[in-house]
Amino acid sequence: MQDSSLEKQLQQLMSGLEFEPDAAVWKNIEEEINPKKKKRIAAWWWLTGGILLLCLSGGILWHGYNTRKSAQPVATQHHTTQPAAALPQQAQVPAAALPQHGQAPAAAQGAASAQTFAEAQASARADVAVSQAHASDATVVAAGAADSVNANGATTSGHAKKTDSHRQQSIAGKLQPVMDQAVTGTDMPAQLQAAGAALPVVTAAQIPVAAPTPALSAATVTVNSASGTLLPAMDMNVVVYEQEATLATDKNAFTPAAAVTTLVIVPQKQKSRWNAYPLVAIGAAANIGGVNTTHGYGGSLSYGLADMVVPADRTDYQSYYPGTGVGQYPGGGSGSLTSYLNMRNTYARLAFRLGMEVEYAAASHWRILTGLQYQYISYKSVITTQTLTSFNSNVSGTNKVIYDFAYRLQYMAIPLQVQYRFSNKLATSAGIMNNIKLSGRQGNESINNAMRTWVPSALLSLDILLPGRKEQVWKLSPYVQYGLKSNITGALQDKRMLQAGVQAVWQIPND
Amino acid sequence: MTESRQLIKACLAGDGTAQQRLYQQYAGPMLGVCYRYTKSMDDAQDVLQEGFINVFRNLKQYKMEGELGAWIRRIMVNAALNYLKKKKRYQFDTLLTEEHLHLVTDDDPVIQLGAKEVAQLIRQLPAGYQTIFNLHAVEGYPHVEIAQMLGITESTSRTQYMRARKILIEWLKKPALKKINYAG
Repeated sequence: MQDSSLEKQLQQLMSGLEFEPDAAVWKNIEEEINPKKKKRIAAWWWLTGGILLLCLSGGILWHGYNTRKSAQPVATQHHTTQPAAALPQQAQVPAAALPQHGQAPAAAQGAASAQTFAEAQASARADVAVSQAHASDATVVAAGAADSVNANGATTSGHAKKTDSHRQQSIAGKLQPVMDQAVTGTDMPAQLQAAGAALPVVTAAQIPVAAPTPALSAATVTVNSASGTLLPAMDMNVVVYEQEATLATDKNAFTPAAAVTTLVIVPQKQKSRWNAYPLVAIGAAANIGGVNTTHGYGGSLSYGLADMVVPADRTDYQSYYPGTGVGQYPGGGSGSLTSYLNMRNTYARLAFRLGMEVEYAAASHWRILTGLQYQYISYKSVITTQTLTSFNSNVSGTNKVIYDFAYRLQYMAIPLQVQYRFSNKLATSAGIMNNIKLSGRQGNESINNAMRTWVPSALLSLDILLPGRKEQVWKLSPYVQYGLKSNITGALQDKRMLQAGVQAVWQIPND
Repeated sequence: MTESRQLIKACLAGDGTAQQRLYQQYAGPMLGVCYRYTKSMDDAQDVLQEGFINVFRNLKQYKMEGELGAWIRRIMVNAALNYLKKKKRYQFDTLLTEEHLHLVTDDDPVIQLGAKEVAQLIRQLPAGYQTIFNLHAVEGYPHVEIAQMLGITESTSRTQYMRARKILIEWLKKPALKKINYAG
């Protein structure tokens, strides 16, 4: 029977009978034959992601705790070269009660002068107390005499802008060499010496100080009298203030930056419209542009001298020794400093992201991408500070200092993107990357206060889908990210960030 | 053969890619087999799924002798039979015997239909006829073996087969008698 024509024909025909099974059949088979393995793999990925997030959270908390701890203000710092008991009483004299600079009554000066001079002879330095608790309110009293003080500093302090601690410290660090240069570079001692005045007497030196840092608390000027008597070293204070009006006109809207970030998204089986992937990204970020705009910073030096002799060869003394006249007059000195700050170059440093990406298949061509990621960005900025110091009428010196600042910024990033798939091979994504501030450092210095809390960035990418093993797909995405706000507030680092790079995503597409 | 052996070894080692490759290689023709034994495409795919699960679970029992496709095909047929048993689709008429049938070997028609059309005609046979016809005419199992597989007597198998054959020949001669529905 089987050799009959019908059976032969049937066998031949049926050998060519084929149908294409649904994709779900293989998925069901695969689940059935490899259930434990798949579950185990998924569990490992989730476990790894969980541990990473846990470590990350712990690290952030620990970092935040340490930052707060180190940011505790120091109440008072003394620079004392003499026991406090041996010094004249230090007094914070209200400005209204003070004689104006150079207007101290002669009688009072006489009495005060001898005492002050004697004190000064005995003391190499006056005591300087710097309160760091409230920068703008801090007052330094360097007492040579209790009843005669120089009010010039009070006037100067009025120029000081109230700025946050970070910015003041940052500025102070930058300007300290400038101040040093100004003090040591002045020709005033020589001028005083050449004046030939008889025994100038130091009555007081008192300047309120706006800048809080110990580095700015004192500077020493040595003044020689005409008779060759060496006047005692006199503590001198500088007041630093930031000329924000100048900075506000700067046009450096943003600093472009480049980043090449590789995203590795762990494939998960896509059963529903919502799919989540543990995400690890690693790459680099850098500000590649440079701000070449000048920033100006002002500083002043002031001190008080009673019976200071104005050098005969100085014709411009009134500009700098206001209130003084020819001969022996009480007086003081002040000068101005200007620092020109230029940001030149930045360099790439490590950047990475950890967290989850969540994908929602809204329609056959449309995806919504979001998630929760920790983002670490670091880059290095080389800032060149070109300074011009000016004391008296002459430009007494210039100083050029190069500072390297390593920035490390940490954010919690929440992307919100819409993806359109042109085909199975090409898509494009656009949206916002919301960066929420965690912490940041400039070198070892915390800049948490200067970081912007929410930094949204516009994100645009072209997604190229490449087939991988099994059902996995590599998604290579050249992208551009532009900061809609700057990362760091304040004049120094008020820059937005522009990122460009490529990210690779490894995932399983929806059916 | 060497390629098949490597594929099988990889499958036995748990290589998911190899498993999928093996599936893709044989899924199409095996669904054709399942299609002939069932009444709908959904049923056929259920059988295919069950059959391939058995293939992978029993792959280590394959002795590398004979064609892998034939081994898989036997598993698919067994899966189909199990499926039919579960669905209780065996309806064997034992009233008719061979002597009651008129053999029509002399006037076998030349099949002018395509594979899918013929398979569709086979699927429209009564369930018991369909199974035995497939087993004997297409798979080539002898009636003795079919009787063992289905738990019937050999004569029942023969009788059912002859009746099925007769019906099918009638349909092949006059295909318009049956409405062909490929969607199954």
